[in-house]
Amino acid sequence: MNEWRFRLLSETARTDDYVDDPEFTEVTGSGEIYTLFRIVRITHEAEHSDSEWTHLANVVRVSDSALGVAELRVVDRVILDARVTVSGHG
Amino acid sequence: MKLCIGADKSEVSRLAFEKLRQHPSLTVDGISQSGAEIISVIRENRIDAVLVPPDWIEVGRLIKMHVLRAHSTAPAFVISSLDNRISLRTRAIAVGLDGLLDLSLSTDEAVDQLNRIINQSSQRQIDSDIERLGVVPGLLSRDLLLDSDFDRALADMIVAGLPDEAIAQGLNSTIQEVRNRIAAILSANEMQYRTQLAVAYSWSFQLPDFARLLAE
Repeated sequence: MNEWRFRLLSETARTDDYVDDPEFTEVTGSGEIYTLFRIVRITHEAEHSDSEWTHLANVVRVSDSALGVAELRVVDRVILDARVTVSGHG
Repeated sequence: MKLCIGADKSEVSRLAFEKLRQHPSLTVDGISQSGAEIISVIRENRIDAVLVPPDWIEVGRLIKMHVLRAHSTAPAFVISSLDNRISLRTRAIAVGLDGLLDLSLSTDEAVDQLNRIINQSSQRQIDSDIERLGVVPGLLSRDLLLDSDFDRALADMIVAGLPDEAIAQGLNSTIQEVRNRIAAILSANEMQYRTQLAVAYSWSFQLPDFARLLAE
């Protein structure tokens, strides 16, 4: 994750300012495993619009409340792709 | 122990009949010629196990499902085979059958194995090899929980082999919504993998109405 490519967003930034639906699915395991997450807060935005990931967010896994950080690719307020690093349990 | 063996045209079934009919602890009247005859035998007798050949896995699954719906209990449904391949056992258990009887065993050994399968079935257990692999009994025979027309359309398109992007386009939806629904469907049906959903949905056909009378 290249932190320098992202700018920190204000803590008052609201998730619905950026996406229509705060729930998204990370697909792993060669397209087999679908894991549902919910955005807690979008923390960073990419400095360049051509970045692979457009936003970073704190997220929670819906099934067990595990916490993590997600790299998101958001286009037209839709999350097209996501990669999550789970960091612990809430 | 009373057995029902199907089906008449199978070499394996004839071998099972010849091997098991002489054993003093077993009653085997003959070989049923069809699925309808198996159902009829089950209705008229207290059958402990139904033996079907490997190419009757689907038929066995359908018969067991409909016997269970009509009577809430069913005999153990067992594949009889000349080998004990774990792949065949896995498939049998995943579609809701109870085990595999290895016909290469001696008659006494085969009867012991059959007893174990019947006991495991009544206690809702599966053999340890299959359990170690994480096979979920009957996973591919469940009535799938699909909440809406959108979910059913999604499953139709997954079965057709389409990727998420194409499904989103076809359903006039977003990839985010499609993936969220797939995640929700997998979770609701206690499945881990997209492929499990595809296989289970494609196997979710029911006994046709013209045959249902026989099962009720």
